[in-house]
Amino acid sequence: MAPCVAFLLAFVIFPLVYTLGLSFTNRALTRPTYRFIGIENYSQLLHSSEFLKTLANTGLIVGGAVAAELVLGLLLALLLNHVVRGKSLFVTLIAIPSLIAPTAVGAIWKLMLQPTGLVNYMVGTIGVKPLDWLGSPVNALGSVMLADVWQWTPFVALILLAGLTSIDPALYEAANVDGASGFQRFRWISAPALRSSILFAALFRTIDAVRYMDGVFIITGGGPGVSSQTATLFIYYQGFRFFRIGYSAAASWLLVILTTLLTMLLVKLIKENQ
Amino acid sequence: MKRTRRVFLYTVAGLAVAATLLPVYWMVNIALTPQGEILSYPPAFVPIHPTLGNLSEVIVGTGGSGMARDGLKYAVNSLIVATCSTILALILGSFAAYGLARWKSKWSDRISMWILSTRMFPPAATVIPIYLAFVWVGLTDKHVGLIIAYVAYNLPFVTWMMRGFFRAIPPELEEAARVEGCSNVKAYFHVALPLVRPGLAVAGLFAFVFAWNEFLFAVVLTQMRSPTIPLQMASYQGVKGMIWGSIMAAAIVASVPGILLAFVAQKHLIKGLTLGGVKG
Repeated sequence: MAPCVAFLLAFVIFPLVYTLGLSFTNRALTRPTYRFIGIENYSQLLHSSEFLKTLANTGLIVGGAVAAELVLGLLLALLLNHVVRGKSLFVTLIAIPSLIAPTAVGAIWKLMLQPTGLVNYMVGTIGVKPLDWLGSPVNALGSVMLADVWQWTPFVALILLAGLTSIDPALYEAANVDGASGFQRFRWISAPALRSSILFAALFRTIDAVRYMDGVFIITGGGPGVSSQTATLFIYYQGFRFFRIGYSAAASWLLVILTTLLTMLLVKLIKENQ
Repeated sequence: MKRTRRVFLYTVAGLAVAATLLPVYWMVNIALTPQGEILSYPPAFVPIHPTLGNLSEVIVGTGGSGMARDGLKYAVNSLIVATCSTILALILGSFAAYGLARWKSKWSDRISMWILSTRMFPPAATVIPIYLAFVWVGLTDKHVGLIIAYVAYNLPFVTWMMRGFFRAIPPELEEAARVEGCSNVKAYFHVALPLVRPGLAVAGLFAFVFAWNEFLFAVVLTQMRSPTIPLQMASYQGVKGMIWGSIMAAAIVASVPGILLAFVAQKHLIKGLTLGGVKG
């Protein structure tokens, strides 16, 4: 146990604390000297409309894309649970998007969302006018979320399916004997049993959505402007494109605080549920 | 009534699979289409003049435009880094998990929670000090550097998952082995570890795929010598517009290990998620 704890202290906790220290300096990769500047970075960030926009984007991804993944994943899991013949084949095929590299997923969707790409062609066949999926500030974030939902809905479905499979079939038989409807069976047997799986999936997806950057980097690069930039991408750009590592460190600590609050809330819900 | 219900069920399931697989199909379709025909409109659902040129260019690297084309380098780097970091994370993680699973104390739960919580921090908050430290000791653009970063990334998850598996096997088995004269270490290697092999398979699969796909540390810590597959995808951007055929071929190469491993670990997958993850 000791090596594991020591490793995590050295490569996670120590860097976190060091980042906190950096966040109170004006250190930059382009300058050898730097000095303590107090909370200057933080107050600048909280007044930067650019940073607040990227934070809002990350919030929209958690609130929108992750929520959609949970709803669609639940429907998919319920559907697959009823498939009797060829179930393992269905499950394996459905799982494929979650196994592909997010950068590859980004590239695939970027290709399909081109002005003359597959998506516009398909919506064209049902009479919808072609959309500017990637170039318009309004659509770009939605396109990024679309790729995320496509990739991670199967992951949620797999977790929920594992939860559904562990429900004792005798419960459903008893309900059938008592003449329960399909909705009643879901409401009174499946849903309560699934609560911990749903919260678990929500926790995992939230943690990952907060750090989402690779797909965005490929699909839009965060643009146009910062319209689809996530907070993590902002931190990366500030630190390693503009070399302002003190400023970047402060932004990453604001993200740490927000993530911690969010995960504590979810963990509390999970504990209460148990 | 029953029959129409079943037809409906399988139709919806089929549609879901189709929606899931269409983008994957499109990746393969474009990877097999010659560059000149890719942006034709309306798009062709099967390549008119199918070619393996894009794939061979990405894999063998026949093109001459420098690093973007040197395909195999990325795949080999990814393979080295993902394999080594997965093995190290499994060794460190399963030792710790075994200790935590057998140690009956409230501290065991607290330490487990703490270990898992280190996975929750956004990696963006640790990448700058790690970059500075690696520059200082000369570990940037080396496999070792990335391996260390990915062990730290995967260790909490592997430990948490393996603890669930170790808890599911009754301690009486090892006690019996000890009565027979086995040392603690021997009881671990000969009794406990073989029983959690499915758990190792699932945790290893996830750790490998995480490391194979990771982007932030790869883009910060590597340059010319040890870039991994996700950077290959990024490197095609903006070089003479988008070379979609090559990009999709690279996407295929990037996707193969995950899909392959999932088929291998298929029968352990759902069980692993149930035991190791949700039940914790």
